[in-house]
Amino acid sequence: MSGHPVRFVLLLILLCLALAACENGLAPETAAGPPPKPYGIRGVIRFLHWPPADSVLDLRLAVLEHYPVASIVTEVIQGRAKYTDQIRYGIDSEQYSLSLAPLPTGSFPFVGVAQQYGSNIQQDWRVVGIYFAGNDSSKPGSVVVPVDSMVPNINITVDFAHPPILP
Amino acid sequence: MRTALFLVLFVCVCHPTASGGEETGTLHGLVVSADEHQPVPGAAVLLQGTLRGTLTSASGEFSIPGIPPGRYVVVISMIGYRPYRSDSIEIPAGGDLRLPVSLEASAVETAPVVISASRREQFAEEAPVSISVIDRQALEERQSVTVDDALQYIPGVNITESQVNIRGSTGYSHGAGSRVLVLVDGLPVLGGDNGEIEWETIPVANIDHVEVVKGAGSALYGSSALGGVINIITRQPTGSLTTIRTFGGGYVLPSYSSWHWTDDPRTSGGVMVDRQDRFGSVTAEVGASRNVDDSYKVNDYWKRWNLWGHLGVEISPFESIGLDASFLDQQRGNFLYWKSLDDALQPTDDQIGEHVNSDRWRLSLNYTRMLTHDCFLTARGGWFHSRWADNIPTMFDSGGSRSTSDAATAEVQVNAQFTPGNILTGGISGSSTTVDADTIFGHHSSTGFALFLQDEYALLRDVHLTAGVRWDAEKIAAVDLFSRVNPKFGLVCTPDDATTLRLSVASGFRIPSIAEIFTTTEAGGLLILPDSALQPERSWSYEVGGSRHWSGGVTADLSLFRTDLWDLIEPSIGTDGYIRFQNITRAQVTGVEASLTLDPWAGILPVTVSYTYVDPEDKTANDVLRYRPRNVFYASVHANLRPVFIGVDYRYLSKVERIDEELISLGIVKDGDARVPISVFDLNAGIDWMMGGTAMSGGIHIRNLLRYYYTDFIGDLGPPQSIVASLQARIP
Repeated sequence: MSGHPVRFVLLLILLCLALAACENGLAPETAAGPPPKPYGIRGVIRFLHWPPADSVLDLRLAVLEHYPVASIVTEVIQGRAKYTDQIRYGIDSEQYSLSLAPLPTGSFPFVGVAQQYGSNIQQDWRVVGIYFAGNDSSKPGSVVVPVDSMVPNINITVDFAHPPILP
Repeated sequence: MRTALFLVLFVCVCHPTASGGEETGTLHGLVVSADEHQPVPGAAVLLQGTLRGTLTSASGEFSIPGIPPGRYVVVISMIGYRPYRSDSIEIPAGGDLRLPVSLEASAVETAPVVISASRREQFAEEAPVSISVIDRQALEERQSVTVDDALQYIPGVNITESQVNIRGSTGYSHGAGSRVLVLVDGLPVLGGDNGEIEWETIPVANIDHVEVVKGAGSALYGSSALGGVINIITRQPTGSLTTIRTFGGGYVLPSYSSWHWTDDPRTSGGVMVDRQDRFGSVTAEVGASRNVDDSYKVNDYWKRWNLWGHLGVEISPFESIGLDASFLDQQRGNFLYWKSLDDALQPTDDQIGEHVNSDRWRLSLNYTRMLTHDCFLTARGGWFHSRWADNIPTMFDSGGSRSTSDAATAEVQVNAQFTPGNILTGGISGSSTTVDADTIFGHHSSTGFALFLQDEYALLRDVHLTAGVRWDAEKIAAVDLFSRVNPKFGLVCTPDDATTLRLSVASGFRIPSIAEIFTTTEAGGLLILPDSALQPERSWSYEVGGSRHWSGGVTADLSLFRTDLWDLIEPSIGTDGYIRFQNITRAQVTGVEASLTLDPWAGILPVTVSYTYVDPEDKTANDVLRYRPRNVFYASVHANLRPVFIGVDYRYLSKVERIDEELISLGIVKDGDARVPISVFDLNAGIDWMMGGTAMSGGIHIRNLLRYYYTDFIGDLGPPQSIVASLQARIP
């Protein structure tokens, strides 16, 4: 039992070495070839009646996998939502494009704009704009996002003076 | 339990000492190497199945006095040699016996002597639990700068951001507590404030070996031994020796240009000087080291001073006392998460310029006395002081946070053998911790007390039963008293000299650290607040396994294990929207571990491989546990063609299936989901030579030989290839 097992294990290590030599592990995204085709939504957000700047600590468009939810922040933390970068204060309108990866494609029941008005990053948020499908403003409009497709015209009006009443 | 413990103490203390009882014998001996007939200093000599043992002197000699007359088997073990096991020898009443021993060289130690499994010296295979050992030679050959660096080749062990994960049971505890208890010579070295392992505090140059006990160990060691115990055994001076070691090298530029962030070389290096002496019955050691590492990442540098010392006095052949001290002064940059995968070696902008400075002291006193022929007393005490300050602003401390903690532990232990094959171990332990931190942890103190008792009993000649229990109580100011009883049960069967079967059941627990209970800070815009309702984490570990030796230097070991865990503490968002550490997770980890050692040519070409599979189940989330790779495979082959050696180590860890996804969702760690399996080769080569009377060693160490890129943690790229040269001189 002396020589053969050693040769076997040495061969095993050499095999590992050969396999490992073929693989470099992680690479920068720029070196990893063309990225997959994005899927998501795009559109225009219009803003009316901006409040004082010190009450707009953050402002983002968010897309939820489920609705209704207890807290948008919790959905974000649990990885069931996607959101844009912070929207600049005081602008009239913003064209946006939001990739929804890695969320699965399909139906998204809520697209809205949320404002952080206080210092508690978990609690001090309110919804100030919602995407409605057609003329139905009784409930948030659902958006169906197919594979490899950026769904256009998901437009939202944010009126800070008259925020939407959530159903 | 208390009655039994006091009975043990009473009997031992009242019994006459070895110098005055029945007529006894003495075993003398000389241990030399079989090939060169040179003395072997520091070899462990044990009378099997008893508490008696000693170490060989610088001249290779040993003496065990006070042995009751009878027949014994002598076992001698030393790193780099095959263990020696004598035939049954007769110790005569009032007489001496001389035993000359030649040890055969072997790079693989198949039966190391360990102390952590039962709080007494025994062979690892006599313990009912799985134990792995890293010896001093492995630390030196691999140029390990810290202990955790060396632990990553222990079967079933992997390291996540300096936290040890043993067989998937411990995972990652978010920098506020350790689920593995780390000891130095039996005393804890976890930070008093955050309960974290402070690896840098432990100078590697002062280490003899490291023992890793897998599975819950709270029945002997108390809190934090939830998933295992790591006991670092420091080296005892055996004679006059000056050791000087220096190393230097640097990191190779990453293969991808987008990861290049500087044209300056990123270097690492250090120098260590150690002097040990023996003056009759007094031993002394003093050493210092300076290590500097630029790091391959921006703002991830560290600079470190380590000082250490030892003073030991052999008061009589039956009594000794030792004082150890170590000091660390460290400055390091702060690199939490990368900026993005494209800028993987750069932290987010807010981390630039952030740093953490720390200094830590460790003092320990160890007293041992042979009370009777078969009863030994050990008393030890330790003080661990930690102070750190950073300049990382939070909404509570715009200038950064600071914390000072002091943790003191004292214990008295008695090992007694009343009848052949029946060894009792019992003791008491007390601890006190104070934390002084402005806002982040506040000002708190805690006091703990424990009693432990263990009986090892020979049911039959080849079947040994171990049963033990420990009661711990700890009071942290302003929090409920934590109290818990942890039992253990073990069975070892040796059907023949080559085969050992083992079974163990043990419970573990971990009292929340002061940091977990009282942290008040902000991280990534999220508020973390105290929770005084935290309860201890609990675990039960089960293991059945066995090992077998074959001729030709073949050793195999197989373990089936399971750990149930309750109330694992994790940071979680409460209903009020703030983060607190809370008891959340119920988990179960099952798995199998197999290892094989092949050493057919007596240390010339030892080969070891091990594979561990775990199924880490988060029963609360109905998902896999975070930061636990399912498959861990290690292999190493070392060619010892003295004076030249070449070693290759390989480690593979399958891709971690679940991490802190919240950090990605919140946008705190961009590209945080980028991770792959870990597949890394390390190469170590060296040569020994004599220069006058000085023993010289030179080495070259290439880490990540194939330049494989992986994440150690979320948003943290592991070390790319580094090349370091080392030179060591040992001057008698």
